[in-house]
Amino acid sequence: MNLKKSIVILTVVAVFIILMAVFALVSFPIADTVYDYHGYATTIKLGLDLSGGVSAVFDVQPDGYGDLETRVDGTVTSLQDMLVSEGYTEAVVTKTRRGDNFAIRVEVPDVNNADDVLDLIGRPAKLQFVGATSAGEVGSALPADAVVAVEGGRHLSSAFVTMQNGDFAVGLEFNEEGTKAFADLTSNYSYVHIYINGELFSNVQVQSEISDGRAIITSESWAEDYNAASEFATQLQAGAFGVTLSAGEVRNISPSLGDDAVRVAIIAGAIGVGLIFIFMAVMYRGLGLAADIALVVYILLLVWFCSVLPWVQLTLPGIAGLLLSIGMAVDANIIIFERIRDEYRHSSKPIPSAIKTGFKRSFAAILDGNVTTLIGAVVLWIIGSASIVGFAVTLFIGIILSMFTALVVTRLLIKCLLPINSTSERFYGLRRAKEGEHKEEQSFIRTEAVKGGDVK
Amino acid sequence: MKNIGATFLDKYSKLKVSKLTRITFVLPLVIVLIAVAVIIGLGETTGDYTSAVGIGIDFQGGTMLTVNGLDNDGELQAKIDEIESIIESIEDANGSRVSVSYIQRLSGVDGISVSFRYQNASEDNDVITAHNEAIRAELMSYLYPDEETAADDAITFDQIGATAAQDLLSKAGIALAVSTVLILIYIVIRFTPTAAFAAVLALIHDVIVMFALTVICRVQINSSFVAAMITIIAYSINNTIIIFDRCREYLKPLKGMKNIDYDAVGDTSVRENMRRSVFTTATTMITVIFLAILGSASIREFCVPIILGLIAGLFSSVCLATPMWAAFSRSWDKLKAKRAATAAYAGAAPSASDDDDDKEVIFKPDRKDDDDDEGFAPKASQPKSKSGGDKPKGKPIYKYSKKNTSFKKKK
Repeated sequence: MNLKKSIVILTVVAVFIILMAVFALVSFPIADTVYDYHGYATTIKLGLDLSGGVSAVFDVQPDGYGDLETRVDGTVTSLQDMLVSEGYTEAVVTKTRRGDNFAIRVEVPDVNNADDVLDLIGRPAKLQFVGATSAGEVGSALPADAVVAVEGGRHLSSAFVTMQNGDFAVGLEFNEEGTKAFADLTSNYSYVHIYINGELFSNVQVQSEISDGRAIITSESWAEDYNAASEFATQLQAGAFGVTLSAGEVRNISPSLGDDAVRVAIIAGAIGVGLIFIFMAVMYRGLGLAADIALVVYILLLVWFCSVLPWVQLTLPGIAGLLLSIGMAVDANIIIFERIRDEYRHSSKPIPSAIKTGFKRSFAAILDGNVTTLIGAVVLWIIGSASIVGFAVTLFIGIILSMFTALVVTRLLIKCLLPINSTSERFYGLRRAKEGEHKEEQSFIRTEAVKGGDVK
Repeated sequence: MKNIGATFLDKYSKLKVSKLTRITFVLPLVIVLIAVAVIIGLGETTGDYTSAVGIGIDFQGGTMLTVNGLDNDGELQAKIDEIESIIESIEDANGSRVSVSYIQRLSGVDGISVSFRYQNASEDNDVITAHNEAIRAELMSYLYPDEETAADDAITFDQIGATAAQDLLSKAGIALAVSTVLILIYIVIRFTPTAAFAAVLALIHDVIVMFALTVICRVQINSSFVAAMITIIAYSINNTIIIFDRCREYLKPLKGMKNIDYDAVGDTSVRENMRRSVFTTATTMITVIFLAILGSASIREFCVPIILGLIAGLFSSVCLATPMWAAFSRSWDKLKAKRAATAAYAGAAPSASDDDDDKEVIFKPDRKDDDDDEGFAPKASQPKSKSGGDKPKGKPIYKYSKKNTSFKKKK
C-alpha cells in the first residue's frame, strides 16, 4: 500500500465517521415531503425501565366458574405471550389484587397513546358456535335459547392468521375440551352458526366430522387484508382468555429506574469509553490510536443497528450487553496488540512484519473466544423469554461487529499507518527485548519423568 | 518504563498459578461457605429464607402503594423523597421494615399519582395489612395534616404479583444448559476434551461464586440479575478460551510426545496473557463502575453483580481453568498411555506417563459428573501439596513403588 492510497482510505474513514455521527444526532425536515428525519440515535426504542410508557389496568370480572386466581395467572401468561408476538418484548404484565378483586396491569413501553395499548390487547371478541340441522333462516342475533356448543373462552386455545386458497384466513386451535366439543358438534349437526359477540358471523355447512381440534374461519371482508385478519385473530385470542376483562384506568408512567436513568447511562458510558480511548492511546500509542478510531466506527455501527433492528428495545440489561460488547471489541484489539508486542520484542522482525504476524497469530484466539460467546447469544435468542431476547440480540450484534472492527477496520487503519511511518518504535509503542530479558527457551517436556521408568 | 502499571504487571506475572492451587482452589469454597452461612444465619433469625437469599420484588411480588392527587409543582420530587422515607421508617408487628424498590409517576386525567412498590416485610396477610394501614395513617397525617377526613382513595394499596415472566428463570436455566453443552462441543472440536471440561467447570464456578458474592453483598436479586449472570458467563468463557488458545499453540509442536509438562504450559500461557486479562477486565469494568456510582439504587442492583462477576470471571480463567486443564490433561494422557500399554503388551512396564497419584485416573469420571468444582478443589490440591510442594523445583515426585503397586492392582 502506498502513501497516496492510505491517505485516501484514512480520509474516507474520517468522512464516514463524521457523517454517521452527524446523522446519529441531528433532526431535520426532509425537503418536499411531510416527513422529518430523526437522528437514528434518538429513535432507539427504550424499555419501561428507561423511558416509561403506558400502564393499563384491566379489571377481572368476577364469575362463578371456580378457581379464579389460577385462570388469572393463565391470562397473565397469555397476555405476555401475545405482547411478545406483537413485538413488545419488554412489556410487563402483572397480576394485582385489592381485597378480593383481581386486576391485571399491563405496562407497555414506547407507546404514547393510552388507546394504543387497548388496541394491542385487542377488544376481546367472544366466539360461539351453535349447531343447526338445516340451513334455514338464521336471525342476526344469538337466540336466547340457543345451545352454545363451543365457546371461545372455554374451548379456544389459540387463533392465528393462515392462508387458504391464496386468501387470508383465521385458523383456530381448540384445547382438549374444545376438540371434543367441536367433534361432537360437527358429527351431530350439518350446519354450524358462528357468532361473534352474540352476532351472527357466518353460517357454515359441515362437510365431515372434524376431530383434530382445528378449524379455519374465512371471510370476504378480510380475505385480501392481512392486517384485518390479524386483528380478528387477536380479538378471538383475547376472547379466549380464561377470564373476562374490562378496561380500567389507563395512565402514562415514568421510567421505573427514575427519570434520569438514560442520562446516567449515557454519562457513565461516555466516561468509560473516554477512559478506554485514553488507555489504548497511552498503552499502545499509534496502534491504540488506530484501535480508537475503529472503536468509534464500532460504536456508531452498533447504535445504528440498535435503532434499525425491530427486536431491540433497550433496557438497562441491554445497555450492559452493549457495554460488554464494547469491552470485547477493545479486548480483540488488546489481544492483537499484545501479540504484536511479543512478536516484535522476541524477534528481529521489522515492524510491518511483526504487525502482520501478530494479526495472523491472534486470529484463532479471537475467533474461538467470540464464537463461544456467540453460541450463548444465539441460544438465548432462540430459547430465552421476553426480556432476555432483546439482550441476546444486542449481544449478538455487538459480537459480530466487534469481530468485524477488530479484524477488518483496525487492520485496515494500521495498514494505512505503515506507509506513513513504518520504522518508529516510539510511534508504535514497541521495543526490542533488552539484554537478559530474552524469553527463556522453555521445555515443556518433563525430564524427571524418566525416573518414572519410561521403558519401551 | 513509563508505564509503571505495565512493568508492575510484568514483574508480578512471573507467578506460577499451578503452584497456587492450594489457595486458589479453596478460596471459592470459602466464599460459597460464607454465603451459605449468611443465608442460614439470616434465614433462621427472620424465618424468611427468600429474603435471606435476597430474592427481589420481581420474582416475589409485593405491595404497590399509590398516592393519588399530587400536584405537579416544584416540590413534587421533595415530596416523593419524603414519602419514601416515611414508608421505609414504619415498623410492622415483627419490627421489620420495607424498602422501596421502584417509584413511578403516573399521569393521566386525574393529575399526578406516584406509585411505590416494595416487598412485603412479612408473609402473614394480617401483618401486611396492619403494616400497610400504619403506613397509610402516617402518610395521611403528612400529606393532609389539616383535614380530618381526606378522600378515601388518596392512598391505595394493591398486592402485586411477580412481574418477571413466570418462565424467565426456567427458560434462562434451559438456555444456560443448552449453551453450555454447545460450548462444550465447540471446545472439544477446536481444542481438546480436557480443555472443554475445564472451561465448563470454570463457567459453573462463575455462576456459583457470582451468586454467592451477590448474597454476601446483600444485593437484591431481580430479573436484571439473570441478564447480569448471562453477561458474565459470556465474558468469562471468552477469557478462558483466550488462555487456552495460547496453551494450544504451545502444544502444537509437542503433539504425540510423552511427558508433556502441562503445568508449565498452563503457567506460561497464563503469564503471557496476564496483561491482556487484566487490561480487558479493567476496560470492561470501568463503564459499569461509573454506572454504579452515578446511577440510582436499582441501577446499582444490576451493576454490582456484574462487577462481582467480572472479578470472579477473571479469577476463574486465570487461577482455576489452566490448573484444572493441566490436571485433566495429565490424567488423560496417562489413561491413554496405560490403555496403549495394556493393549500392546500385557505385563510390560508401566505407562510412560506418570503422576504422584494413580488414583486420580480412577476418580476422574466421578469428577466429570460433579457440577461443583469447589468440591473437587481440596481433593486435588492436598495430595499435590504433600508430594510436590516441598521439592525445590516444585515438580512432582514419581514413586516407583507406588506406580508398580497400582499397576499390579490393575492387572
